[in-house]
Amino acid sequence: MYLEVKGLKKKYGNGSNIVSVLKGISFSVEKGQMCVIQGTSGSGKSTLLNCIGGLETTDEGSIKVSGKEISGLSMSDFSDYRRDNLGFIFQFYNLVPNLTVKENIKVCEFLAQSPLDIDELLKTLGLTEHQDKFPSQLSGGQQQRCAIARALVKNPRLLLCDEPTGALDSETSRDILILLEEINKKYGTTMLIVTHNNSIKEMVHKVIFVKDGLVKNQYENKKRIPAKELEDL
Amino acid sequence: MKKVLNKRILRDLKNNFARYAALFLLIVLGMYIVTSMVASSENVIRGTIEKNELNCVEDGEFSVFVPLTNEQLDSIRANDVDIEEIFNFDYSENGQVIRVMKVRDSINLIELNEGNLPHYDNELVLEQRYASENNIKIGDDIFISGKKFKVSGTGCVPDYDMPIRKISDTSVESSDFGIAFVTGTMYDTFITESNCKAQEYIYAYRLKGEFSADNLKKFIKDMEFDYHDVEDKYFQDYISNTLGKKDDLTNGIKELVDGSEKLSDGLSEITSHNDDIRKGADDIFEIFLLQANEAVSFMGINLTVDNYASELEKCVAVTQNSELSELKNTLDKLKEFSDKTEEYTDRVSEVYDGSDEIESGMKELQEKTEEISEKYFDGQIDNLMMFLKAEDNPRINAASNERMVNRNMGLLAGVVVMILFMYVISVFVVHQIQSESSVIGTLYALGVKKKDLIFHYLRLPTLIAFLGGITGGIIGFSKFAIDSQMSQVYSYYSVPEYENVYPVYLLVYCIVMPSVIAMIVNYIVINQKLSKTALSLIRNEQKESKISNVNLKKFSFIRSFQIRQILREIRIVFTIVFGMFIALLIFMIGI
Repeated sequence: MYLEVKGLKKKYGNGSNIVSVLKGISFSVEKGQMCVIQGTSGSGKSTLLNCIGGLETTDEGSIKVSGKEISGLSMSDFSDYRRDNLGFIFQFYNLVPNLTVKENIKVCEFLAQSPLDIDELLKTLGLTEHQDKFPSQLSGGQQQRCAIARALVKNPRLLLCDEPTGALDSETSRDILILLEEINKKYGTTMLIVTHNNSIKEMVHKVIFVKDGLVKNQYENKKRIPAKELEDL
Repeated sequence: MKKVLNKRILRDLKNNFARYAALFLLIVLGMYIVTSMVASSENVIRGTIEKNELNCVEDGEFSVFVPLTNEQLDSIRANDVDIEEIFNFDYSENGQVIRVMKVRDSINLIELNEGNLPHYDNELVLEQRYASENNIKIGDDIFISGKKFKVSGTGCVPDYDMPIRKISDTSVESSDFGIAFVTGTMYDTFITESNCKAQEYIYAYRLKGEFSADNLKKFIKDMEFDYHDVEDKYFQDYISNTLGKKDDLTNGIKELVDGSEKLSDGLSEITSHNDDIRKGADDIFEIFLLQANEAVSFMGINLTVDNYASELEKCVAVTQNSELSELKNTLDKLKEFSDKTEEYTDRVSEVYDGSDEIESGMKELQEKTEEISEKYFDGQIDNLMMFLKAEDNPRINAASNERMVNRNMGLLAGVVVMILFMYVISVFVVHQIQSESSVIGTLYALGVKKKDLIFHYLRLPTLIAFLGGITGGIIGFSKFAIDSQMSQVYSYYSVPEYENVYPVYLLVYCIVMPSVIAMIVNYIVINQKLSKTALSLIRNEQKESKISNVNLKKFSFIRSFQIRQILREIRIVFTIVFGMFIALLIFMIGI
């Protein structure tokens, strides 16, 4: 197992205002798998992703990434863990506004000991011709591709995507999903995708349904549909 | 990463050029003022040291009631002390006062601004500020005490750096007070002809060995001095009002003591005759009693002191003899006389005892008065009228002392102003961080560390401060800037022209101080803002301000919005207003 989550619990608030968001979640993901976490708003899927990404601390339970326990790490160790293992993609692209596409990617290049070749990455992501443009000169899809490139440049073993198509139209969403599929194939990157979009589950290896802070259902997707054939995106 | 982010700095600078240009200009202005002020102050401070050495500034001066004799001067010189007369007198006309002195030989030498020292008796050098204020130039004629002089030069002396007439004066009035230096012969002529009583006998000294100023003061005080030699009527008034009063008191008490002694002696003598007087009175009575016994012997009566009255009354009653009656009256009167005499002598003895007490009391009064007089009324009159060390003399090093305050205040004000400017810049940076909060959070999520971003955000403020500091420093060191500061010195103090100096510490101050302050202030502010978690930054979470939650329902929307904005920024507003106040205060004190 590349990612193994066991009995994960997380609460917010204090006194009488305590809200249990994660109530003992357990699941695992194989190396190189694409996994979708689905659930309604408030089900705890984004919190789960943040806990795995070391952006939030956990109250109970265990998270092992590549066999290494990460729950209970210090802030500094979390930072190192993210630098060495993770790539993040958010719904909003959060690019540095006054850096070009290439420069935005370069910002994260130094974080990895063996980063990917930027020009090749630009080519893979179809950004070569836009590499000298600023984020404000790009469409939403192009900006998200740039954000993906930035997350990928350090060659992460685990890519965490929080609603990567949430702010995009269906065509652009398809392009992004095709891209993620290609990356998964090309670099063998394990991906954890949190989404509302019901169609995405068709293209991934594993699907996890979260409801009220618990894993309601999880299954391996034996009949994967390529992203380009997905409907109702 | 740094390389990539550096491009961002230049773009940020370009996009917010007006804002950063304004801050840059403020820093330049601040550093220009500070540098020119401090540099000009250094010119004065260092120039004063140099010129003081060159012109042999005094270590102090003293004035005396009676000029020192040559022997006394030699005895001072023997203690490794240079001494020179700087006698002077004031000539007044039309409300203006010119202090006339001889040209100095060894101490407090004249630094000529223009022209030459007086070669002839009809020439003089005029103090430069007085000459300037009264538009007197080389070659002009001026009159002193009816004598015509040609101005051969203008200049200044180190003991009148601040040309005030009296030591206690607080401000310079060069239009009304100046100094004229004439030849020694001319000065002596003035004194001889005018029999000048207002001449001040002042000596300047320079200590060359281990003999201290305090030693010199004591040495002069201990010199032989007869105050009767002093012709000055004010001094004589002083003597009569001090020593004279003491003498009156001592003499008065002495007279009292003498009088009490005489009284005591007189009474002693009187008392010594008490027994004789008493015996005489008793003898008279006894003689008359004897006569009375003879007269009544025929009656067989023996009269005594105790029974004479009753016996004679019986006799008179029996005999009806008027002579016996008269005899009794006579004896009564004599008895009374004898009793009164005894009473008198007793009283005299008492008075004598009292006079004795008066005498011893007076002697005690005399002793105590002498003690008190010795203790509190030091009647030791010496020749020393005034003794003033150079460091206590407001005329000496006045410009340098004032500029020393300016220099220190300027350096301090520079730091305060720079902290304020940097705080303003940090506010801009903080706003930028807030607007880029989600970007920063994402970079944190990707593994970028806080220190990488802190140094990135520090670069622009530090660069602006660095360039502003250097530019301000260069302008501040320019001839124009320093000359404009120096003109304030030259227009008030009577000082020689100083050379411009470029102190290394000030160069370092201009280059390093703004950058260091920029780094420190911005680090403190930025570090706080970047210390949030990645998630908090991505969500751009803001702390709820308690101060802006005031109830403003009674105001209109616009007004309550304005008030909330002010309250939200109240710390910044307060800091800037308070900081400006402190900086201006320091500047005002310094200037």
